[in-house]
Amino acid sequence: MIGRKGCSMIDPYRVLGVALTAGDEAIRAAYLAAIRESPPERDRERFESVRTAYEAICNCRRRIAHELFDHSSPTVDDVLIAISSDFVPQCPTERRLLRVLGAK
Amino acid sequence: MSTKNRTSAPRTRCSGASGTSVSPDSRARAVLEAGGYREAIELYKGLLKQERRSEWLDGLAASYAGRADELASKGMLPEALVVWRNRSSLCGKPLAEGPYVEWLLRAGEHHAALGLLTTVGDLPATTRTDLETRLAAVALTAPDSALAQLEADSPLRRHRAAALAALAACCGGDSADLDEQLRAIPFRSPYRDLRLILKALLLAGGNASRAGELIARVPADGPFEKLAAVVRAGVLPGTRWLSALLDLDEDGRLLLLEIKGCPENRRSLLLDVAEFAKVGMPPAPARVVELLLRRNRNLPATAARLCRRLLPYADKRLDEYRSAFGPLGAAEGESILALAAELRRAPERSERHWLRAVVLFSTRESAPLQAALILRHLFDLIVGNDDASDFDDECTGWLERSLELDPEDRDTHLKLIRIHRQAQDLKAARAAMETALARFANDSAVLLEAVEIALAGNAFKKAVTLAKRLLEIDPINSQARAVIGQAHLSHARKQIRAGRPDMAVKELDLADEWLASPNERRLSKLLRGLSASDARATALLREAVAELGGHLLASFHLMFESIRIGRPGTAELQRAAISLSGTPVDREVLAVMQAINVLGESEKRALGTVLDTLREPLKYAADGDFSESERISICETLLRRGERMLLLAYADVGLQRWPERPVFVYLTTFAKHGPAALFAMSAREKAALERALEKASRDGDQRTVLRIRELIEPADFAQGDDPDDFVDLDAFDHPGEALFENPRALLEMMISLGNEQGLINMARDIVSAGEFRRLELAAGGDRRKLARMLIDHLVEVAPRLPAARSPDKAAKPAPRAPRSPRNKEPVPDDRQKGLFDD
Repeated sequence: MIGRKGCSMIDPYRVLGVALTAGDEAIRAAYLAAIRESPPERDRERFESVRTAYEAICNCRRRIAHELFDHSSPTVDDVLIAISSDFVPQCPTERRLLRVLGAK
Repeated sequence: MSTKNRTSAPRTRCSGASGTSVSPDSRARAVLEAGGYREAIELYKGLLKQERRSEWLDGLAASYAGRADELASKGMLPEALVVWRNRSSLCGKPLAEGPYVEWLLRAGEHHAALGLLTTVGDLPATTRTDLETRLAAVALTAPDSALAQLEADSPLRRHRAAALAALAACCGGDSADLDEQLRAIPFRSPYRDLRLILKALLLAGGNASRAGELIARVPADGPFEKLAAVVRAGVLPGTRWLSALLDLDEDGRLLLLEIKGCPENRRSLLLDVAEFAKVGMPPAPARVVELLLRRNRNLPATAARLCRRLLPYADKRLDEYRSAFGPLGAAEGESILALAAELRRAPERSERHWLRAVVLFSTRESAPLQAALILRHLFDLIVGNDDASDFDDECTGWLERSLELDPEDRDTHLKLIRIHRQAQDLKAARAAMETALARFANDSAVLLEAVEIALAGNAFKKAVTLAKRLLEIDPINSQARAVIGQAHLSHARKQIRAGRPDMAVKELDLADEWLASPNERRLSKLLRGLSASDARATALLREAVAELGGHLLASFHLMFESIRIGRPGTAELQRAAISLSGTPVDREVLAVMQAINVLGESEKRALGTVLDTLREPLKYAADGDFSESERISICETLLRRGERMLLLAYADVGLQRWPERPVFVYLTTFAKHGPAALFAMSAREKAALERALEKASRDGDQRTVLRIRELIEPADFAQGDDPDDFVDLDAFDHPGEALFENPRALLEMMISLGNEQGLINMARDIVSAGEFRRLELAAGGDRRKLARMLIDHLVEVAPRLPAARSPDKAAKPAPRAPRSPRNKEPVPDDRQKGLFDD
């Protein structure tokens, strides 16, 4: 069973950097790119998380199962990314900047 | 200090606590050191009225500094500034030293701070530069009128325009302009830190690592530290910037949220999440749901998705979710409730919701896959890794229905086939296999399973055909090769049994082409010898016996093969000229044990028949010179096969040779009394077991610890739901009584301890031979099923037995699997025919 209680699992779509609507090929391509970037000898933890993420959504059946049965506990990352997905980094306003520097 | 000065010191004396007199000078010092700054100020003032000594002036200055610090630390900055100014005016100390400038800035007295540059007179160059640097941020934000008091060539005035222009360029996101303006700020300018901070600030959104490198070069506690702290937080990876957010002041937080792009209406939610990050623990899912529902306005779809995913932890808030984020489908709602029930470990409730979800998903055109996956999940949830035959047909039906909805899942096909095969329902297994083969005709796993089913049904030709097909797909599949050889051997046995020696020889010829190991080839030769009774066959038989090495091992194989072809083994022993009179060598005993270990459960009865002949020689061999591990291995084999008499012989010798080994104490006791040893062993034996338990615990031999505990503290008694059920310990002094008080519970306990064989052996002595035979046939070779049938029979007959003490008391219901076991007729299996026919 995917995502049993007690284990925290970061969103596999986010780990692989693919859209929720991505198909098998796009997910596999993202997976291969990610493990090329983080091979196990360089970054074991990242490699494991990429592999776990890929296994969770590698085909249609797994993706539906993930959607149906996943109830893993969220990490702070999960929450932050969920509520900040529409944030667009901005330049500061001059007023705000000067206030930080001590302007009244 | 001169002697003259000392003599002119005030003559006033005070009495200390000890009664000795203390001079005012010493007292002032003591009070100052003790932190009594206000009193110290008065004391030093008094001393200075008498004489203006430099050390007293220093003392007064230190007292003022201490008092000012005290006030500043309480947030009384204006008062602290007044005290510091008194220090400067009364003690002649410079005003612009120590924390004065910082307090001025904190108190917002920027004008006064800048004024220091003009009022403090001729400062040393380094002090002036330092002061200018500290006042850079003030100069940047101060009104022009405040700047006017500075000299025209002050760097704070000269570079201010460039610094302000750089700020504007940064806020406009104009990188080129920013570079241009920053170039106008010299390296030694009081504004120099801005060059790195503003560059990093501009890069923070797009190139955080480069921004991090730049901001790392800005010294801490510089004039722009508040801005630098915001940039430092902004470039932190992952959620670390959230933790740092809480360390900033209000203006810093707002700036950081601004550059991150956080809308105003989400700031409070983000600060709540920052609290999670600060704690460093994953947030509780229900708390996250609560937060998201409470602050749901204008949240992005990703937040709604997270909230939906966590709803099983807060299923009572389904309606709130719907009103916050929109409708949920009925099937989705049922899925959430099912998962919520799973989390509460309520499988029956979960099952109800899952099945409702299946119905709802099945009605949709596009959702049969969801329904299929739920059915498979439900099977895993309810049955898991347990024996599916212990559950009712509905569980297997879930898998069958899931394959109707989603027939492309090979693993579920295989799972279903194996379940039917394990339940010995070969008809259902074949049907499932045909369905699987229709879809996965060239799949090696499916083909291998098909071979197994063909073999289980004695369809040897079909098994060979399928295995050859498998080899075409996977030419190096050694399992398929072995299966082909074994299938030909089995077919040869069938032909010998049917009295067709020519056909049997043909099969053996074919088998030899595939058999890889010398031992398998020897068995083939043995079968050639058994296929006929002429002189040539007898010669072959004797040749095979000689190759097998030793009469014990040869007789084991010969008798086994005889039973398999339906002949009495003893006659064949004579024909092969095998004598079992001598003591077998150790190697032979080990080889026989190895051969026993590879036998299937279905050959148990045949093994019993073979061992009837071999028990005596095996018993003589118990004194052999086996190593400790060899002896344990032999004992384990005998234990698994329920050969308690032989086990006792081997374990007893083991205990004599290695008296300190707890495992032999356990094995000996078990061999003597079986799984119900608790009721039969003597006090001495129990004490020996307890000592062995302690020793095994000390040695870290957990397996033996558990086994001994199971023997002396049966789980059903030790972990009963209600300990009061067993308060009457006297009942255990009379096992017979206990048995007839609740015979089913006792017998079920034996099964729960994994000792079905012990129960069967015990029942064999109690139940009449005819009845036992009837039950054995009905069980179809399934040991567990036979054990349960025997329990039912024993419970039924127990009240009628003469020893029954309490026939009027009804037995407690037995603990059962969640569902009633399937009650299918055993499928005829030719491979078992020999076991039941003789």
